[in-house]
Amino acid sequence: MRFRQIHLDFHTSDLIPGIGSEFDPQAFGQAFKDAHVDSVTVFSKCHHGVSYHPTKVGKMHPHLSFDLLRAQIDALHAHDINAVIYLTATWDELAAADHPEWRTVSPDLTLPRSQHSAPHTGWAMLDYATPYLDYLCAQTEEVMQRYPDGDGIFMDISFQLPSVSVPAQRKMTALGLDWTDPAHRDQFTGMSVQNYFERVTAAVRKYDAHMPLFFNSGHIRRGLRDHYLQFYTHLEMESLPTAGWGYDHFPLSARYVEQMGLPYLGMTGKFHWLWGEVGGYKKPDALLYECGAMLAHGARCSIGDHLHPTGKIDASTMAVIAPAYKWVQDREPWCIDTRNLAEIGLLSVEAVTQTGLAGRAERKVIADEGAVRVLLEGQFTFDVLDLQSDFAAYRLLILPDVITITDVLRDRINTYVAQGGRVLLTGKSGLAAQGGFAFDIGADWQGTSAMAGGDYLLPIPILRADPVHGPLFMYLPSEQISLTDGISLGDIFDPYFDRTPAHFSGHVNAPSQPDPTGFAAGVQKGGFTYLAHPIFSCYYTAGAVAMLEIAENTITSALAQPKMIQTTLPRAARATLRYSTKTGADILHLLHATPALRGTLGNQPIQPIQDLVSLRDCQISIQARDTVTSIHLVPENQSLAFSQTKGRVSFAVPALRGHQMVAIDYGA
Amino acid sequence: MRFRQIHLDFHTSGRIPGIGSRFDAKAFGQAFKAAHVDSVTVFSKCHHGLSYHPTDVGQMHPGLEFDLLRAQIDALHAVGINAPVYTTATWDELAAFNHPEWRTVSPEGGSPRFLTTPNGAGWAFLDYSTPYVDYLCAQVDEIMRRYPDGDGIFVDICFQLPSVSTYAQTRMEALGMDWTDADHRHRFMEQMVEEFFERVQGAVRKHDPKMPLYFNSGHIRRGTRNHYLQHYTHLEVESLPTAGWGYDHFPLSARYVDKLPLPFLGMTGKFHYHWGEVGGYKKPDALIYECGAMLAHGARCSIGDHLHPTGRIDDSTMAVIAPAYAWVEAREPWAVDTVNRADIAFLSAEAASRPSLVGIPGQMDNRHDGPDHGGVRVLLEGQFAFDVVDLDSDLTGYKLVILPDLIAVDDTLKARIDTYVATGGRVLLTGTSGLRDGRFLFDVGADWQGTSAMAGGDYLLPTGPLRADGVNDPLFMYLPSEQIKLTTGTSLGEVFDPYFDRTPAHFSGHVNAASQPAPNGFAAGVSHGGFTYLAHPIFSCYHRAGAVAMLEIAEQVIRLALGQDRLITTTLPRAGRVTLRHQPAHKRDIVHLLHATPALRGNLRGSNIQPIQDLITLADIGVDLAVTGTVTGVRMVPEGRILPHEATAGRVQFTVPSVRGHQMVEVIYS
Repeated sequence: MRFRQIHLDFHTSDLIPGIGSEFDPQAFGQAFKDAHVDSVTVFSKCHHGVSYHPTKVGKMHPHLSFDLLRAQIDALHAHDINAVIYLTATWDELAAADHPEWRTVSPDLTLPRSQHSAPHTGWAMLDYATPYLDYLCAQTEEVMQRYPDGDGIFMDISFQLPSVSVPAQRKMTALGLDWTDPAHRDQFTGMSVQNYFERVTAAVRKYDAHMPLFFNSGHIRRGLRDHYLQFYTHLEMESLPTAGWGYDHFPLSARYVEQMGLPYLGMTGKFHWLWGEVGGYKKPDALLYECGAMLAHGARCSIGDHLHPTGKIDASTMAVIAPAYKWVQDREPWCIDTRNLAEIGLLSVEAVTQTGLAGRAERKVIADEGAVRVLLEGQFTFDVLDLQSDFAAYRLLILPDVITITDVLRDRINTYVAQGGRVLLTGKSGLAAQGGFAFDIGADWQGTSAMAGGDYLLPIPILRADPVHGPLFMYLPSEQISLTDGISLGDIFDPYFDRTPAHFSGHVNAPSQPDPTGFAAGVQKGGFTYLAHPIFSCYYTAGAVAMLEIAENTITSALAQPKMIQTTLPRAARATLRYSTKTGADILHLLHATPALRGTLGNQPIQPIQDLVSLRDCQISIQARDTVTSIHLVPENQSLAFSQTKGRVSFAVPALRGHQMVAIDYGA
Repeated sequence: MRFRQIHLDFHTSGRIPGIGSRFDAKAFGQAFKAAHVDSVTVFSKCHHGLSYHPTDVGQMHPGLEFDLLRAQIDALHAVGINAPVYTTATWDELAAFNHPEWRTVSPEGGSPRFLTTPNGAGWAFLDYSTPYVDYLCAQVDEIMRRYPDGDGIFVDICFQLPSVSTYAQTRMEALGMDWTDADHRHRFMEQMVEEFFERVQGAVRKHDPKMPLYFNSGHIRRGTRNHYLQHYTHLEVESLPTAGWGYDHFPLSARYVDKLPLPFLGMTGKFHYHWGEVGGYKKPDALIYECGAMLAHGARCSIGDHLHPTGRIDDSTMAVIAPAYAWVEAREPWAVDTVNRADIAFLSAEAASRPSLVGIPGQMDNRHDGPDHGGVRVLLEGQFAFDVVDLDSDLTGYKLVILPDLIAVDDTLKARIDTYVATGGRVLLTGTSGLRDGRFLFDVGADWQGTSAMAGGDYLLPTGPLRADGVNDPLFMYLPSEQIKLTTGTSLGEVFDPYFDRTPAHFSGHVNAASQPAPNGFAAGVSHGGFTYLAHPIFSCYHRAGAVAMLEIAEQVIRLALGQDRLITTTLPRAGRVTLRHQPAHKRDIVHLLHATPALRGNLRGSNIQPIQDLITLADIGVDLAVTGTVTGVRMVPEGRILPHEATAGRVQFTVPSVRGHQMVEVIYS
C-alpha cells in the first residue's frame, strides 16, 4: 500500500464548461511527483453522476471532450505514481435526475438529500433496491474493462438510508416483509446493503482477483470487522479534523482499525474546512501535525484535494502538500512494520451496540469520544476493542458509561480478571440487562439518580481534581450504589432539586445539598473499579478540566501501576509508543498542536491549527521492555542521554514542534 | 476603585431551605482576605426577587432568618474589604409572579422568559413602563437607608425588550403614540429605559451623591458614551470567556472603554462554564491568563463567584481565586495609572451604528459581530497596537484609522476623516465602508460599480505582497466583494468569480463552485494617497470562516495601510497577544505578553465551551518596539530580572527568556 496518497476530488457540475481544458499530462504527473506523492485517486464518476471518460453506461461530462481518466492514469504511471479509480454509489445526481424512481424514499415519503451549506443543494440519495444497482455495477464493470491498469477501486458513499421506494416495497412484500414496519425496513435495508457490497465486489473481482478495493462511508463502523474483512482489501479512514470529524475521531478510529490486520491509512484534507472548498487552504504546519498523527497511529497517509474543472494543477495546494509529504517520506523507515503498545483496552460502545449496515453511520458515539479524549489528553496508551478482541493483551479493560453486560461478556471478563486483568466500569457499564451488577464489584445497584440534569461528585482525595475539594457538578445523573464489601471511591451530593420549570434556582443548576446522599461515588474491589457517573459522557458534554482530571485519576487508580508513558507535556500533547517488528526498537511519537476555534461554517465550529509552537525540554519516562542501549531522535539521528531504573527509562527531548519521534533501541 | 473584586452571585430559589445556616462572619471575611480579595459584591435582591435582609418593600427569602446582607457587609468591612450591594432590575421572579401585569408583553403577545419558553426555567422580563419601577426604586431607596455604609450599588439586568403591556399601551396612547407601530414602540421603550436610569440614579443620589453606581447589561454598548458618562461612576465589563463571550469580547470592549474617562474593570468567572454553575471550577492557570488580559488592557479585576445557599465559603473556589489574586496583587504597581499606546484606531461598527438603549446589548443586532469581532480578532492575532473608537473619539495621534466592512459614513464623519487624512493620517476601508449612494465618499482612486451577485462568496487573489503565505491562487472568501474600477489608484489584486453562485438550480460539489480560470476584471482593492480600500468585507469573512489565509491577507493589508513600522512586534505565536502601556508617573512603558490556547471541549446549551486547560511555557520571545525616549533599562516585572536590550533608531529590541500565560516587561526611560 502506498504511503503518500492524494484523494483528488472532482465533483464538477455539468453546468461548468471547459472540463480538462488546461490539463497538461506532463505538468500533472510532475506536480505530484515534486510533492512526494506516490498515489492519486482519480475520477471515473463524480457525485454529479457524470463520467470523466467515454462511457456506454452513463454519460460523459458534457463539457469534456477526451478521456480525462485515461490521460490522468497514464500521466501518473509515467511518474511511477499509482492511480486509484473513484466511483460514487449512493450519490449520483444524473441517475437521480434521469431516474427519479431510483431515489431513496424516506418512510415519511420525502426524497432525502444530504445537507451541506444551503437547502436543496445537497446530494440526492439513491436506493440499492432499485435498478440503480445494475447501472452502478455496469459502470464498475466498464471501469474494470477500460482501465485494468488502474491501481484500485474507491467506491464512495456506500451507505443506505431506509427506503420505501416502489422497488423496495415490492421486494419487501415478496420477502414477506411489511414495509410499513420500521423493524422490517431496517432488516431489509441491511439485506439490500449486503447485496450491494456483494454485487459491486463481484463486478470488480470478475476482472481482477487482486484489484485493491475500498468502500467509503465516512466512518469505519466499529463492531463490523467481519464485514470489512469480507469486502475490503484495505481501509481508508476519512477524518478531516476541521470538517466535523474533529481531532479525536481519527485516533479513535485508528486505535480500533489497527487490530483488524488490514493495511490502513488516515485521510485528511488540504482544505481550510471541508471537501469541495475549492480555493480553501490550511497551513502547511497543520498538515504536518495531521500526518504526524497518522504516523503515530501506524497509518499511511492520504490528503484530500480537489482538482480545478480545467484540470490545471493548483500550485498553492501543492505548496501545502509538498512540505508535509517530504516530511512524511523522511519518517517512513520508522513507521512501517510497527505495532502499537497499549496498557489499556477500551471496549467501544459503538462496537458493542452495533446494529449493522443499515443507515448512515453515526460518526460520534459520545461515550467512545469522551473516553478517547480522556485517554489521549491523559497520555495513556490504549487500543479500542470490539467483542472479538483479545482482552488478555491489556493490563486494564475500560467499559465506558453505557455497556450492558451479557452472560457471554460477563464470563469473558470474569476469566480475564481471574487471570490478573483489571477492569474499569463507569455509569451503567457493568449492569446486567435485568438490572444489578453482573460482577462482584463490592456494591449493590439501587437505581439511577432522579436528578436528570445532573448531580454532584466528590471523590476520595486521591481521585480529586486539583484544587477541587468540594462537590463537582457533573451535568449527568449518577447510578446509586450501596457498598457491600468494596472500598468507597467517594460521595455523591444531590442538588436541592432537579432543574425544571417548577423548580429552578439560579442560571444553571441548583446548588448541592450540604450533606451527601449516602450513596457511594464508586467502588473498588479486587480487579474491579466502578465509578457511578458516566464520566466520559460527562466530560464529552461539559468539557470541564476537573472532570478530565477525575477520570484520569480513576484510570490511573484502576491501572494500579505507573503509566507506560509519563511526560511533562501539556494537555494538548499526545503520545504513542510503537515497536518495530523488524528491528525490535520502540518508536515513541510525541504530538502537540492547539487547534483554535475560528469561524462557523455549516453551523459547525471550525478549528484550524494556525501554527505550531516549539515546546522545550520535555521530560519523558517510559516502560522499557528490556535493557536500553541507545535513544535518539529520529529521523534527526540525535542521540539523547538517558537513565534506566526499575524497568523504566528516562530522558529529555530538547524540543517538540508538532511531532517528534524518538527511537529506543534495546540490547540484542 | 478596588483592584481585586469578587462578584458573589446569590440567585437562590425560594424553595431552598437553610439560607445562611452555615454563614460564619469571621470565616467569610477571612476567606476573602486570605484570597487577596479587596471588594465583594453582596446581594440585596436576586433574580428570584427575594431579599437577603428584612424589607418593608419586597420579601425576605423564606428560608432566611437574619439580615444576611448586614452580616456580610460587616464581616467584609471588619477585614478592610469593600462591600458593594447588588440588586436586579428587569429580572425579578417574585415581582413577575405577584404582579403578572408588570411583565413585559412582547409585540406578538407572549410573556418572554430568558433563553426559554414562556413556562420554562428561565427569567421573566419586567416592564419599566409599569409600576415595577416604583417598586424597584423603593427597594433601592431602602438599601440606601439600611446600608449607607455599602460601597456601591450594582443594578443588574438594565435592559428592556419592546413591550405592549397594558401599562405601555396606556402610556403610549397618552403620548399620542401608536403601540402597534414598531417604530413608535422603539421610541417609547427608549424613553422608558432613559426614565429607568434617571429614577434609579435619583433613588441612589437622594441619599448619597458619591455612592459608586453601576448598571449592568452584560455588554458595554460602544457608541453610547454619553449614557455611561451620565449615569455610571465606573464600568464593569462582564465578559466570561467560557460562557458565550469568548476570548475576544473583553479586549474588544476594553480597548473601547479604556479611552472613556471612567475607571473600569474586567469581569470573568471562576466557573468552568457560566454564572450559576455552582460546583463548577476552572483551573487556577486559566484565571491567571484572564486576569493577565485585564492588566494588559488597563482594567482592574473582578471574578464572578456564587455563594452556596448555606452561606458557607467554598474552599475549592478560594483555591482557584487566591493564586490569581496574589498574582495580580504583585503586578498592580505596573498596572495602575497607565495609558495604552496604539498606532491604530479601529472604528467600531457597533459604535458607528449609534445603538439605542432598547433590547439586550450585543445580542439584538449581529450585523456588527463580523466587522467588530472579526476586526479585533485580526488586530489581536496580528499583534497590532490599537484602540477601538467611536464617532466622538479624537483621531489625533493615530497613524491609521480602520473602517471595517460596513461603516456608513455621514457628513460629520466624512469631514473628520478628510481633516485627519489632510494632516497625514491614513485610512483603511473594507467592503462597503466609505460608500454612499453608489459612490466612494473619499478619493480612493477607484469607482464603485456594484456588489458582486455571487451572494455565497467569490475569490480574492491579492497582489504578491498582500498574499497569504503559500497561497498564490484565488482564495474563496465566503462573502461577496464590492466591484470597483480603478481610476488613479494602485490595484491591490484581482477578484475571480465562481462559475456560478451556489443555488438549488446551480451547484457544483460539496461547498462552492470553483473559480473561473480568468479574473472578472474588477480590482480586489485600491491604494491611493492615505487611503487603502479592500473590496471584500475581510473582517466579516474571517469572523465567519476563520481561515488562516484570510487572517494573513487582512494582516498584510493593515500593514500596507499603516505604511510604516508597527509600534511593537514580537515572535509570539498566533495565540500570543501583546499590549504596550505607558506609565507616566514612573516614566516607563509596560509590555504585556499574553499566551494561552483555549481548547474546544464540551457543548452546553448549544454553546461551544472553550476552557484554558493549562498554560505552556514559550521560550525566547523576541520583542521590538518604538520608544518615546532614551531607554535606560529593560526588566521582567515583577520578577526584576534585567534583560539585555539593543537600541536602534527610536526602537529597542530584547528577548524575553520565557512567557507562561502572561509576562510584563518594563522599558524604563531616563
